[in-house]
Amino acid sequence: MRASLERALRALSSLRLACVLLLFLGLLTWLGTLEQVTSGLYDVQKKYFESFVLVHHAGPVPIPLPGANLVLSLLFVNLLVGGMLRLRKGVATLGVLVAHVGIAVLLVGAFVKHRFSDEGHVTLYEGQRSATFQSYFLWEIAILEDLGSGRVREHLIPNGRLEEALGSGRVRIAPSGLPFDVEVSRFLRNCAPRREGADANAVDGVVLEERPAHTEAEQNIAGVAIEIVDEKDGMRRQALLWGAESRPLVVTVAGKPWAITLRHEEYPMPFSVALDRFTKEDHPRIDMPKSFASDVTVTENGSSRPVRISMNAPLRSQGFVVYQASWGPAGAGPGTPLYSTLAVVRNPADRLPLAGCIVIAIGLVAHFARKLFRYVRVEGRTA
Amino acid sequence: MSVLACALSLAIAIAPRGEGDAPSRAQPWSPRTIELAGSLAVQEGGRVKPASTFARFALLRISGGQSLESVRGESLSPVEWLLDVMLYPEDAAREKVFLVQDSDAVAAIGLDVRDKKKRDRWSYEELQPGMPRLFTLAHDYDAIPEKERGSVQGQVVLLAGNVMTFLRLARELDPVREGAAAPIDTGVFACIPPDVPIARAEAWATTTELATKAQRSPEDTAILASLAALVSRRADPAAFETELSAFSGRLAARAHARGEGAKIALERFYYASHVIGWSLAAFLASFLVACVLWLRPTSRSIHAALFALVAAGVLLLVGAIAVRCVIRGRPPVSTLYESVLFVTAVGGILALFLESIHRNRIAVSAASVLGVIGLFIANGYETLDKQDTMPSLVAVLDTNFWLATHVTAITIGYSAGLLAALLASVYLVAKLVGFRRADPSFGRSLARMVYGVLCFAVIFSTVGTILGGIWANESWGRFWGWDPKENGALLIVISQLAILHARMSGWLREHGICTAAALGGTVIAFSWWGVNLLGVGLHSYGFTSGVHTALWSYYWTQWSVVALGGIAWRRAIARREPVATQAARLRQPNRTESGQAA
Amino acid sequence: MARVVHLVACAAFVASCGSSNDGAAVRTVERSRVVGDRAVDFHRGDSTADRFGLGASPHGSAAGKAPATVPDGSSGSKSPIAWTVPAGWTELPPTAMRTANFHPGGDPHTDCYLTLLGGDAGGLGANVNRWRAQLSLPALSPSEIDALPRSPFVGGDAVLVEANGTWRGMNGTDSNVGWALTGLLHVDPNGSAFLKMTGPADVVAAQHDAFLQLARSFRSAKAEVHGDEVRFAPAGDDHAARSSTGEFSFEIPAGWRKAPERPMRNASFYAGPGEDLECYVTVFPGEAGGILANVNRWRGQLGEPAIADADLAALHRIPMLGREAVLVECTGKGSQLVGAACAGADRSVFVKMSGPPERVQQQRSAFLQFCASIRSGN
Repeated sequence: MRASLERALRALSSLRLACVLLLFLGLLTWLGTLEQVTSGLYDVQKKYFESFVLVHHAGPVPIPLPGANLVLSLLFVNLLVGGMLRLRKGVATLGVLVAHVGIAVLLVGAFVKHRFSDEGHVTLYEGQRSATFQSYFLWEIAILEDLGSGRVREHLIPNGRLEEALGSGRVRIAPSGLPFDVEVSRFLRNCAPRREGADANAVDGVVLEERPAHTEAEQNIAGVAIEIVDEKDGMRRQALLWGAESRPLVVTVAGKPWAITLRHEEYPMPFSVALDRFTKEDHPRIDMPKSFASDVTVTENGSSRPVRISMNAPLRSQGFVVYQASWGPAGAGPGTPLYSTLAVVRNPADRLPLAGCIVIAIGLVAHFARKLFRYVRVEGRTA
Repeated sequence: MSVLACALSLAIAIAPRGEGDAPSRAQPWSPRTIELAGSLAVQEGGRVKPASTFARFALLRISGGQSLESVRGESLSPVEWLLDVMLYPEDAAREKVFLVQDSDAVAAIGLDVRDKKKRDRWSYEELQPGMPRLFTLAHDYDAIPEKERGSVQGQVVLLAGNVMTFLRLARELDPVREGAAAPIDTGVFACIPPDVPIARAEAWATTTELATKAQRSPEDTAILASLAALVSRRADPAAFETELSAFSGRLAARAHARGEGAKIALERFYYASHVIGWSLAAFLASFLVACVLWLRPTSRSIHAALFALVAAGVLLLVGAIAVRCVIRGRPPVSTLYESVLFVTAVGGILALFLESIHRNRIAVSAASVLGVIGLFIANGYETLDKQDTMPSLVAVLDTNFWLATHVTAITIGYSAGLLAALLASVYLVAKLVGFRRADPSFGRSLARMVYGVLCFAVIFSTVGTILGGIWANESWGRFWGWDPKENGALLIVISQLAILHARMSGWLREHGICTAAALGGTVIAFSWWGVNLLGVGLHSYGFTSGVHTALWSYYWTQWSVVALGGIAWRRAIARREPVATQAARLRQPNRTESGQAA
Repeated sequence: MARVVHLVACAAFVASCGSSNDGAAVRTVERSRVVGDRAVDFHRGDSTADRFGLGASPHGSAAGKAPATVPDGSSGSKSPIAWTVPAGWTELPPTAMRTANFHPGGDPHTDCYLTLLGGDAGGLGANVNRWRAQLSLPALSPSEIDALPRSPFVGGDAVLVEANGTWRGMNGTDSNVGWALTGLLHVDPNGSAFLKMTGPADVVAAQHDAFLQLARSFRSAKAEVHGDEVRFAPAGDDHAARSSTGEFSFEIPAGWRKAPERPMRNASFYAGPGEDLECYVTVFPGEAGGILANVNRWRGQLGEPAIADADLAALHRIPMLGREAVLVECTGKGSQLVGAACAGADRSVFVKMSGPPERVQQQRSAFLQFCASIRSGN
């Protein structure tokens, strides 16, 4: 028992396993790079870098491969056991140990980011303010309940639930505290509406027609069919929701109006951002931006302060980071009001990569400086 | 549509004046005139630069060369050609300056191509009958995404762009020419700095803009008069020179008042000194000396000469890079072109360092080869790309901190990795031709050198790549986005880490490390150039077709070297086998059968 | 008791739901939050088509406003030139270089089109020989070109070229044996017109008369047909400054000036003195996202909320380019905007003027007059 445990531990911590894992990671990286020529980054990332296993098609030949999630998890264990715990400790290996610790920090950072972060954007014209930001890819159904005096309660059906209704899937949602259930079906990642009375899926003379997904996944406009099931009398009402609809669907159930809409997932920020001024400067006489920056007012816990967000200079607050991402509308002439798109990321591990990098640099430099010193000495003697 | 209309109006306007009533330039431009004109500051491509730099790249774009053989038999420098185009457009229209790679493009605009070679230069006069069709076709083809354009279509668009540049230059001085129609379009470059501080107006003015300006200062009027005088005195060299001197003084004073144009002289010096050319010459000479050295390996004086020549090449290159840094106010690497110079310089320095430890001739010879190849690539890239090698940078690159840390580190990583690949290739080839018999320690020390350089490379690749992630986290909001360029950097780190771990585990020895390092060179080439050819992602800087050929040549070279090394390895095993058998026989002389069976 | 019945009914209902819906998984959702800054109209019942911006239904009030785009027999409603399509010919939508465009006799391999160019387009000889080269034929000498027959075309005599040969196409890449070309060239330094028919020799021969008849039919779209009505270049001595962008012509209102060209804009003007009030014309191929999206983009620029299809249908219409354009007026952020938008299947045209409100008001009637003066064609 102890012997087999010992053997397993040795295998897990071996240098050769590290080599094999590194080669697999390299292979995945290479394939995932080449595949970006034909597919969008979002899909490639899901297939190669956020999976445990995958099948790569080399022409007609399907090749099963471990996904980057699996490889990196194993690499982490290998690093922990082989590169740190079982590493012979001494002056000779100190640098290596430190570098390994740094890489472990990086991997932890990657894991935290992958599991616990939200990312999206907030797009504002000058004068506008927002305390929420939107996902680029994920969709949600929001059921809005009027609380009076301009306040609204939002009941949310997140992207994960909608994905269950892809294809022929169908899912019934029972939002707590609502007098009705929502049954979701025919969730389409990218679609457009068309007038059509005859189709079996038509609602109110309109069908949502599936479109091939864009390679840039943020351009997709999702759509979904819902049925609103009255809890009291079981009456069903059909409706379509579309990601680019101009107004929500309004239904009256239990004598009360409810607005239902499909939108990109929205997340609250612990502060609000108001865009005061957006400045874009071009290089003189050519159409190439030299810099762009948003002057915003951040209101947090009742106090406001002005902040300038520009390329390479984000705003950090309460675990949220707000970046200058882009601007629009594209091709706007002078005088046309511009909007500013700020990317928002909530990443608890935001600072880990920097820490990891410093630790790794120290470790590597210490280790290889020592080696170089010996090398010069030895070679100098033989030469 | 508007571009088409504008091009047609430009083209039609120059046509009637080409009929011979205008005088031709009677004598060559004086050296002083060329010097004065070349030193004029112009604003183009988003920065202020000497007119000579503008002319150099404009002529390169249009004619594919850095000088022009005129129809009168003179050899024109870019500045002389520019002076001709602007002051004697009728003369310039007769110069065969438009390089067309494939005459089908000219046939497509309805011209007779029978008297011309497939790749040939055309004059504007020859192309003129096809103008409407050229701009019509170019307008249609321009709508096709660049990647989907056919070769003829691409050529037509290119030619139309070059003709437009030519016409705009030829009409730049129209506002001060008598009897010329007012141009619709403003110029290619602007040479008149505004008389307000730079904070209030960054853009300079073209002649048209100055002439149509609503409120002209007396100084503005004087500048216009000066321009008009230049046009009217073009045929009188002495008067022209005097006028040009006054004009250039006026403009320089204005630019100086705005704090601009201070680096014009330095940039003139950079190009006039041909420092990159001299560096290449030093490397070429060192290469010849290296060849001699390998024929007479024991000569200390030849070794010293080789070392000195390589050192000279590296020093000149370092000087060139330093001057560029000063001109641009940037760290050494911010464009692909600069990365080539920097990789070559760092590779040379590393190799010289190795040589000073080892003194075994290999590192310094490798440096010589690296210098020659590196600078040939730099020159080839400049000729292919045809763009100013000191361009303005997009917003995200406007940060000297990250350019200095991430970009510099990763480029040093490239350099060290490529040097390791080169040394490893030497090992593999040398093994095939049989160095072992001559000197067994030679291979060992070479392999140790490869390992040493790899260790150096891994520090910079790893730290550089992670710094890149941190930069991305600062500017785009994510540490790692699996963008092709990021992946390329990761591939380098992974391959180098895998080699080091495989060596620790005993999987790779001398030969294995050298094979892996040689393959590592292809990984670096893929990351440095290959991903840019994929045409996707945030780091794709534009396609240059010649790069493709060069890249694949390098891949195949490294693969062949590895294959050759494989043959050498097999041979070494085969050689070792009979020795083992013999030894067994000697030990057990009376059991020959079992010995043979083994 | 009643409660029991109710429960049973519910159970039965749930069971039936389950069976009819292939057992849809039931999930509870706990995510909810209260927000204060949402403007939601809870009292608007819109149809699905309304919400999706599909426009009013074909039976709705906007129906009569859809422009009739398919002409019968005599075409040219979008162009200053009119013509009569020969019987049996298929008319195709015009392109940038083809002002009129057909398949003669309905044959898909045979093309016939009218091209108008500013200037002499390189001259008569160059164009005749370019056409001949496309048929792999040797060039003609100037005297041979002089001897070519003439035929009436755009209000004058034009040179008639007829040739048989192997069609090499525009780029010299095709190779069709037994093809023919019939073409008319009106070459003039003030503007040139070319009518050209190419295709298999038998089709071209059969359509020869129809071709000449078409050539004779070109005339100004205005009621009066004068010999010189088809004008290709702006005439300098016109009483109203009539100008063109190549694709459009228009009359520039008094006091307006052309502004420097900018990307994405087909023509820009400073409306009135100074440079603070700009008016510009933008043309996109296709629908450009539809009128509603573009109107809402304009409104967004002034910080005004988006409008819906019903609101759009209620907006004023003005004539522009032979169709109806939607007139958009809105004010916000210290700036006012007047815009006209008209969309067709082939292209969409937007005219916009924005600037300080009082200036916009001053120039409003000039703007309307400008919109009305826009014509397509050179």
